[in-house]
Amino acid sequence: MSTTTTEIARFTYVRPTDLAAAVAAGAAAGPGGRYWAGGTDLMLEWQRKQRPIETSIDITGLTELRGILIDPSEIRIGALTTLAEIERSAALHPDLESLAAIAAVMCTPQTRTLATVAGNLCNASPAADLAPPLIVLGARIATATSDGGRELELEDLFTAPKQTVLTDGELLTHITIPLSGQRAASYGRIARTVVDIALTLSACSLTLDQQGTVSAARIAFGSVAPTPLRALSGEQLLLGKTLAELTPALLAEAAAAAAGDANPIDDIRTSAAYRRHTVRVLTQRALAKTVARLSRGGDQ
Amino acid sequence: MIIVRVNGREQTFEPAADTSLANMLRDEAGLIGVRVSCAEGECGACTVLLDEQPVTSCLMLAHQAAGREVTTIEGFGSPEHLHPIQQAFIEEQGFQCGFCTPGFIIAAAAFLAENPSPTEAEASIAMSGNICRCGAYPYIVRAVMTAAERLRGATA
Repeated sequence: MSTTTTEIARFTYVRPTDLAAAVAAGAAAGPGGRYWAGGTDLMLEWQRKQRPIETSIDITGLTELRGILIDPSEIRIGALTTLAEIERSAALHPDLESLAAIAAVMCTPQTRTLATVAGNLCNASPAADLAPPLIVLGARIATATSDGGRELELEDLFTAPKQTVLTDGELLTHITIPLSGQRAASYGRIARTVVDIALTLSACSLTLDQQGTVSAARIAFGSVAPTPLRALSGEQLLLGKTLAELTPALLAEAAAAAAGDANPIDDIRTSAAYRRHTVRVLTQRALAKTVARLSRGGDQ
Repeated sequence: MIIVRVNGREQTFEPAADTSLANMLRDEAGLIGVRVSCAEGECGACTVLLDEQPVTSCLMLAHQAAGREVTTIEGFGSPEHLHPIQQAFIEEQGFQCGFCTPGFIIAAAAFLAENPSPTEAEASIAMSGNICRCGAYPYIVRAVMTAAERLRGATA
């Protein structure tokens, strides 16, 4: 490495070993502070000088934020659970199958060793692959700050590309998936190659009540709007229906309505028109797969 | 100051806050088998094992390796006793210029530790985090399959 006259300003590096120390460091660092989990996105931003960092708070020593816990009412995913761990989690619970399958095609095996769930969400890319499958499972996130913390719906985290509602020093600590009745989920994803980010992603879930009618329907998209997006318009058409009433025609209608919520752009990867078309097709297929799974008795 | 176990030996380093693990291994430990090509986590040439798991060492801070175990290509075999994966890459001609080869071999080692009996398709997908600009991919996949067979034989 040669030293040039315009040496980049280096950041301060701190490595807290527990949550209280981490959020204290986050509060002290203010707007120039960044929590460093896997760091795979931050490292690139830093090297490309896309975003200034004054203090890097390396939270990888916070073992309490690692791993997946399953109890009768919820699945709890620690913020620092890696994509590689998510990839291997399918056998833990049927609700994790879509998430695991998507994690398996994200970035590269090498990056999946480092990259974390919370990093994928907090980096807030419109193409954050884990967001749609988590949103359709009704995921909530918990955060910590030096003076408390809060819980919110994952779908409310994102505000714009690379922007979230998290305040300076606020740390996402875990994600919870409430378990509910007879639920099945599925997804469709199109990318140019196995290592590329999604051109379009659609995930959906359907929950049946005791009477066998749809009590909850969720559809969420990636890469077709400035943020991961819940497509409410398509969901309405599915509520209150029995499995027999979820005909291919109705699913097609719901998929078309959902696709109407998409707000894609033309970019280097593909066109808005392609995204608008494929998000409808992927949604229709994902809904059909979900109905088929429920017909076989659902995920659980 | 950080302590990292590199290729079985504990070493101390004093990397700057933003030094990548790849640069520390090359510049401070002299392990130039760690190849930096894209420096963006795309090409896999800088792949090393971190606690037995593959990582692109350009995409992480050297500090993130504190207290952990790192294995580079220099920790695989020796000129007299090549690792079975190295031997398979030579026999199957799994390279042309060789620049990407250390990364491929380490990615293959991590993959075969997890899946000792892969299909060709699985081997191919497992190598998707590594780029060979010479385009030796079919030979590389064959090398991984041959290595898998050897390693299975060695443990049988």
